[in-house]
Amino acid sequence: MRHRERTDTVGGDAAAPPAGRVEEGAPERFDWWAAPARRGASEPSRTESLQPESSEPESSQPESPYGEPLQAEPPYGVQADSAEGGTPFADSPLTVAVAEWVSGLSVEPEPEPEEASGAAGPVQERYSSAPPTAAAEVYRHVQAGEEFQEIRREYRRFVFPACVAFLTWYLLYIVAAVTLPGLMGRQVAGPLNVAWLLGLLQFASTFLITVLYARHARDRRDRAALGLRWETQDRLR
Amino acid sequence: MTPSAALLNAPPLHARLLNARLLNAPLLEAPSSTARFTAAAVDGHRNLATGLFVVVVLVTLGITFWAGRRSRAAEDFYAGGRDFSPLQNGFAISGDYMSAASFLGVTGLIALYGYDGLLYTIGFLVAWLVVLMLVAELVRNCGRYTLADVLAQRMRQRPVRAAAGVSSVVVSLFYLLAQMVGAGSLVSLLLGLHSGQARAWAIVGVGALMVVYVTVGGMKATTWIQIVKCVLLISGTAVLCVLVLVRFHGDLGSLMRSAAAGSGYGDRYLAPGLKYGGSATNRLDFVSLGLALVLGTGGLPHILGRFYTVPTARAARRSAMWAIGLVGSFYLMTIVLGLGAAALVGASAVKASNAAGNTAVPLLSEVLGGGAGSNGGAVLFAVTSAVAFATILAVVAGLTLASSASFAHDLWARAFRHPDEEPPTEHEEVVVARIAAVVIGAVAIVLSLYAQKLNVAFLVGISFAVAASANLPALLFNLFWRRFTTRGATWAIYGGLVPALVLVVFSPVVSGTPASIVTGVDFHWFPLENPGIVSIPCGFFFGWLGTVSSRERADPDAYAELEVRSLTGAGAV
Repeated sequence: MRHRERTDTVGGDAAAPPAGRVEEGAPERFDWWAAPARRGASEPSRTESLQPESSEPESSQPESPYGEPLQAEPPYGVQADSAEGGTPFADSPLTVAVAEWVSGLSVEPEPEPEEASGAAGPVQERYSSAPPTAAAEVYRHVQAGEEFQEIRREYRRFVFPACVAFLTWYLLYIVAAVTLPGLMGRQVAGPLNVAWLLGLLQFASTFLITVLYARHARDRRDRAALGLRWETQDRLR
Repeated sequence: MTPSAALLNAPPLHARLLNARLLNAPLLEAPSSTARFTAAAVDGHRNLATGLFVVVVLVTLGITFWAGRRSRAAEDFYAGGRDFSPLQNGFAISGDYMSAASFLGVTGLIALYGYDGLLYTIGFLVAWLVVLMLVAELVRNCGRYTLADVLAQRMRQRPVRAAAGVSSVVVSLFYLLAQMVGAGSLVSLLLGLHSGQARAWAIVGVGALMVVYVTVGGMKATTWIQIVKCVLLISGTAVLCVLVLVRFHGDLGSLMRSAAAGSGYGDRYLAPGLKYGGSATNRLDFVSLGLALVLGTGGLPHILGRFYTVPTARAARRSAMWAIGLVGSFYLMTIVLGLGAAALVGASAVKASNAAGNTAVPLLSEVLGGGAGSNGGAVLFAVTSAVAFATILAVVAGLTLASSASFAHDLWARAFRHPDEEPPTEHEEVVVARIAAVVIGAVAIVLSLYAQKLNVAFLVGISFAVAASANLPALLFNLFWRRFTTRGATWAIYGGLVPALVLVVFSPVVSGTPASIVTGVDFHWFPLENPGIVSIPCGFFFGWLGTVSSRERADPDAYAELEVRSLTGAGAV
């Protein structure tokens, strides 16, 4: 299913009546899903409201567990028809290089040795007052799972290169503005000079990255993340 | 301090406006020297503007009591019940972000310095990409009400909450102080009351209003006030923008040429260097500022807190997108307004009214409405002033709420409490948050009264630099670095906070130049006015150092939970 029905510039929620209605009840439903996963015992207050609804999630699960429509659109009215075509960052050598570099850093979870040390090694002192629980097992398991790894890979594959790119581009622009006034003052067309052109391009690139990010998140992550959230919370119960 | 150094100082957005010059300047005391206003016109403006100010106050109070009736739980007070839509929250975020300083100050900068004014708009917009991609969704999934929630999720509660709570309160308080001092001068400027006493009363009035908004209405009222303000601000700006474009028959080229002519600088107006030329220190200072701007936004507590008012991470992403759209188009329009002011009012007239350029928009609106003394001019002038006033009120309310939430939720309820002690109930916490809002409001009022002579650019500079140096490194390490430990988190926060504050104290802002806060003594040794270029790397460095030097190891279970939760939303509140 293409998870988009219409392009709407005024927010998918308001524009999609059935799902929009669901939002009325969103807080309670939300609690239902949130509560079982809560680790610390520090927030006892809202558990009462959970019981009466205990049968609901099964029925509402397929459509809109978030209380929010899946068909949400970026607010720019972008016709993202070629979404499957991939993002411009996705396959570039830079992207791959950065992604590899990033995964070479310590951010990858290296699940096997961790799990081994967690099980057999000296017991890690936990910060929450509760002892290691089934919940922790679930999270560890989900984190090591292929599904989650895929979501995280997709997220990082876009976000890290994009951040490096826009920060570099912005800093170069700032530095150029203060160090190369001659070049920046060169006329391009009419009263427009290089400095103004680059400045307006900063606006354009910001909007562009925003749209690309949203499209990437929607097409590559949202459905999988939603499914995994669901599954995880099911297992946490 | 040279004029260009004074100008450089700014995350001037908020700053210029609030700059010492505006606060101290004799120019402010004698606006009639503008010669653009006849006495009668000034009276007309003032009555109409006062009337509209009263309307703004009544509407916002109405919203507050309406929202206050419905909010009881902690969730309502801190997060507005979490049921705002992305569209609403996008407007509210933009409302929090675009202060009167953006509306009046940046426009004035563009009117006076052309291209160099444009640089600010870019820094403030590009910063949103950090928020969108690295912060919004993940923070929404991991936290409950504050920044410290995100850290405490995988660290030992008390130390990280103490650190994050302190830095959040510091950032908010400096920001608040800057806004309130600026509010005092602005209100008196816009209403034409120029005695020191009138300014003091304006500060007290604005402070009292913001305390009422927050204590009575909590996040729900604050959010609605932001939304209303944002709609007013965007539509006001759009109307003025269209009027300017109509004057030039839609020809942007001729607008730019007339602006260059009206600025008195000719072609240099459109090229860089009018303001940030000069010494290498000045230029480095500007790079430092640019860095603080782009990284600071992602660590501002009142912006982070906004993402908790929507139900899901996807909604948080979409609110950030709305905010980018709104903030971006707003700044694009301010460019047109700035150029229009240079072209139609003339830089010399703008400067004569207020040396920092803060009155460029009101003057422009008067010209667009038909000129000084005309009815149309008076109406547009009054409307513009009222929009600026609404903007001030909304921004201070957002800041007060963020700091009271940090105090009650992080410091009082958790950090300042023995682990064995019974945690307070939600109800007690909200009561404390309300009291904290009153106290913080009172402190801000008192400090602002004393700070009236302060260079306010410096206050805003601190808040952005502290946010970028303390909050952002801890937040990013926490989200992306598996080995990050409690010690790393506290070191990152204190290691960014302390250098930022210390460097500012020993910068030319505080001593050593004629424009400094302390005159007569010179104890400055740090050459730059913005500490960002040093203190931001410090924050990251100490975060790393604290982590690699700590004996305890990061809890892999906690990181697994954080990662899964941040990217999928499993278990999110």
